[in-house]
Amino acid sequence: MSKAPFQDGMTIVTRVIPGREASLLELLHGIGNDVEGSRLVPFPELTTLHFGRWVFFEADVDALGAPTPPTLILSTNFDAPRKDHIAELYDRAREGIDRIYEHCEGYPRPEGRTPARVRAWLEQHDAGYNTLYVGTRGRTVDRIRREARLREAIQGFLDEACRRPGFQELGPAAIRGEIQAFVQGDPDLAWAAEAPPRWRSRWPTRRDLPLALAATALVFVPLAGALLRGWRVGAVLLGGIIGILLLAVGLWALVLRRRERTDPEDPPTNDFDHVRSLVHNEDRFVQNQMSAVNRVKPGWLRLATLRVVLAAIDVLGRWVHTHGSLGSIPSIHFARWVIIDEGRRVVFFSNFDGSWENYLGDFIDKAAVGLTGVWSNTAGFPRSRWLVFDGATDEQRFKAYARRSQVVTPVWYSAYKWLSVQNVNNNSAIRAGLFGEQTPDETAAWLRRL
Amino acid sequence: MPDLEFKDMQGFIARGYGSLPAAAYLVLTVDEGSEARAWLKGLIPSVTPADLRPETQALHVAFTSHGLRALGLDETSLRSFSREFWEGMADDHRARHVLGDRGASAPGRWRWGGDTHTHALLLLFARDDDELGAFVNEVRAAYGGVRELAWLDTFAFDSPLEHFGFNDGIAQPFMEGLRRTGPPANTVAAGEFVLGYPNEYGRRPLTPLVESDLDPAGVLPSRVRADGSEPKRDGPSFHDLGKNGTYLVFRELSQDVPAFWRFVDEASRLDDGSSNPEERLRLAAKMVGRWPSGAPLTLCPDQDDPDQGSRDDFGYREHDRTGDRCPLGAHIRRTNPRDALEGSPEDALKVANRHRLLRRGRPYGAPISRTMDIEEILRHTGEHEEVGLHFISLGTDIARQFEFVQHTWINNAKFDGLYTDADPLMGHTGDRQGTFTLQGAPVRTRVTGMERFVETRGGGYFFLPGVRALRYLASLPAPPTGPSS
Repeated sequence: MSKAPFQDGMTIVTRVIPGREASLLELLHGIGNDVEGSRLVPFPELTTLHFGRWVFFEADVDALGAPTPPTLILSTNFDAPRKDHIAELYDRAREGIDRIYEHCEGYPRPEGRTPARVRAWLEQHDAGYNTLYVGTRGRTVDRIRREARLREAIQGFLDEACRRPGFQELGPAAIRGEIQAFVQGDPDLAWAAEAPPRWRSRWPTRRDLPLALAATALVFVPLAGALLRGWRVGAVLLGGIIGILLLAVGLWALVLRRRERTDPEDPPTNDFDHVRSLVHNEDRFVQNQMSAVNRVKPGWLRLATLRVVLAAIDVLGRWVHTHGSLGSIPSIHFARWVIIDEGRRVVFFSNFDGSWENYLGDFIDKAAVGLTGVWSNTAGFPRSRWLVFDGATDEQRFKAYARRSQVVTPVWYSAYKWLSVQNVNNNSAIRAGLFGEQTPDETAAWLRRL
Repeated sequence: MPDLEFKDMQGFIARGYGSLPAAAYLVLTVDEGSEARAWLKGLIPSVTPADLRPETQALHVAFTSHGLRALGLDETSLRSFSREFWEGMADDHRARHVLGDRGASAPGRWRWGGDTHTHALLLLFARDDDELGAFVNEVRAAYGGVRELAWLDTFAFDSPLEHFGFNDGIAQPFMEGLRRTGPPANTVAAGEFVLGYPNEYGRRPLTPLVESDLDPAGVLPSRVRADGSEPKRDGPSFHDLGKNGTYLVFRELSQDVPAFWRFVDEASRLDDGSSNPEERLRLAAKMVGRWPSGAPLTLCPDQDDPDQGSRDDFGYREHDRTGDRCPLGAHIRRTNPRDALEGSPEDALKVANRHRLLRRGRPYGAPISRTMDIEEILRHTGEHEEVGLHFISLGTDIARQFEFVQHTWINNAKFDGLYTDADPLMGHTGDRQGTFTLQGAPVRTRVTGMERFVETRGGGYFFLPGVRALRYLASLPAPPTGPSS
């Protein structure tokens, strides 16, 4: 059994040479308007890419009014390892990459531009992510597409079979047997007989290091004290650590609460023309995307809070919400937050199913606490209470904030744009239950997936 | 919950006039602003407020954003309405990608509403066709500065049927604050349906405003900030144009009744190729989610039961989670999923109730078969008068209510984990690629090559103003650079 791959996120943040913005945007829109047919960046040839986008942020200011430079971000969700992804990207899309990044500061000049140097330059500009959520854990692009074809083939077979008199009377086990025979009889589907690689979490990953260190300190310092100096010392140490933590959290909460009462919030209305420019590209097919940027509120307290909240959601996404739905939101393929500009701004990129209205509704109805925990640290967010309360539940104000934060995404690509997250995960369950031992109940439940 | 100001509210919000079975809708364009304002001023005393229960007739009036502009409302005030209303139903992106009005349903092919000339809608109700005719003539005689673009008739079935032959209009939310009350699970905050009151999020919906300078006579209520919340002492001064009004969505939906029954007949034939009336009715009921009497499949899985015909007090989780009775993609399960979607049943219901519509539509056109005899419908060949539904819904947030239902639930092939199953009656695009899955044990059956049986023939997003707002609109000054007066 091979080990399943790990889907990762890359966020290449580069500065655009002042004066080259218009030319860059024209180039990007040219690619984005025919994203599957672009010669410059032949997306469908990229075997490691799930979702990808280029987003351009105009020169702007942060929450204190200090300038932020014009910025280009390439955000991809890919099958690890990163070096293979970058190599494939530059190998297949060399002309596009060169032409795009010639608009950016520091890109290797033509005379000394070797693939190795470009790859190194891209890696160097990868800001990674603070939070990455994956709704389709552990599956490569290729596997997602193959499992979709497998399901379609089985459905076609069943459509035919159901017309046979008496087919439904065969019973679950016999019907499953017929499906197995059908799949085995099709050489194109033979791969499905092999058990799928199981996705196993690796603990701890490098991203979990701070958490692991904190846990270690909390458990092992008192334990070591107890072992070396007796249980009294251990208890004092444990009490001391907890006491200091409580004190710190209490102080933090008091200061935060004071600021919350006076932090200004933006109005619940929007500029129609801005929203129309966003809406224009939405609802073209089942999936949609969001690219947003927000200004982190001034002061180290907000930035530190934001970092902790994002790290917490990242951990939850990797260890708790691993089965395709975040809380009870079943429609997010990939989403990420990345703090950029030395902590002055935070970007949000998301790939989801269904309409923006549905997505934001889910945010408010099902995930208001988490989103308020993140975005209440940014300027203009609806008034929050104790970091996570209120905020996003102010429906119209939150929707207006979200629209205001959004920018047009000139290039956006999905490797399987006809599939919802629920489809991808159901397809994998169909494949997983196709062969092997099953109890009658399991067979009945498996047939329901079809 | 503040008391509703029924006097200032058009009565159409509070009641659908079941006791006034004759109805007609008149679509108007404004030719001349000042004359039209004078006409509107004369019309206001005839508009039925919600504090009256009319015995013989009722009249309502609503405007598109183009209509408000033609009456002389300034652009800043117009942009304080919702973007959906300001753009209109026929907006290209909206029609194509949100509402699914493509092909034969594209606004360019509508009978009315597809252009910027659709300005106002009059809704008239009376006890019978004769009285309605006289009422229409009376209203027409008073036209000034306005011209009629379309006269939309309705057809009154003896019982609340729609043209495919199913009892309709059963699932209707109860609005808080009205005398008529219902079970809490089906009762929705007044602010979902009328502007100026708290909605399901406990907030007042965004309301259109005019700067107080533009309402020197103080016709409109003040005391709101630009964002619709209570004013701070030094807040900007606006008057509330939306108070006690709401948005009205109108769609003329033609139904191809013979095509529907022929499709169902084909898809339910016996192995020898002959029709199977019992199976045919069952498949049609599966597509709708109710039997012709209205009995929900979730409660009556095997056969129709007229005694259960108006049952609305049921959920899907307890008896029908898997869709074996009412398919996951059936029409009524997607237009009102009750407790069926994600989360606990209680949470799912709460979320679903944030997407409810007050439905006020009526059918039009005489049916092929008065008794809804399916054989007669199938035998029918050749031309027949167009039949369908004048769909009308009221709500304070077009995007979160009507458009959400249309886009996220009706047209969405991925609804509730499905793949290629849009609404079996009206969600498919006509490319015959769609499917309809009937969940069941041991394994599902599936209808392929789904067709579209409902086409959009016209429509618009209207604002149904409160009475004071009507007075304000009738008293607007002529725009300084406008062509009128």
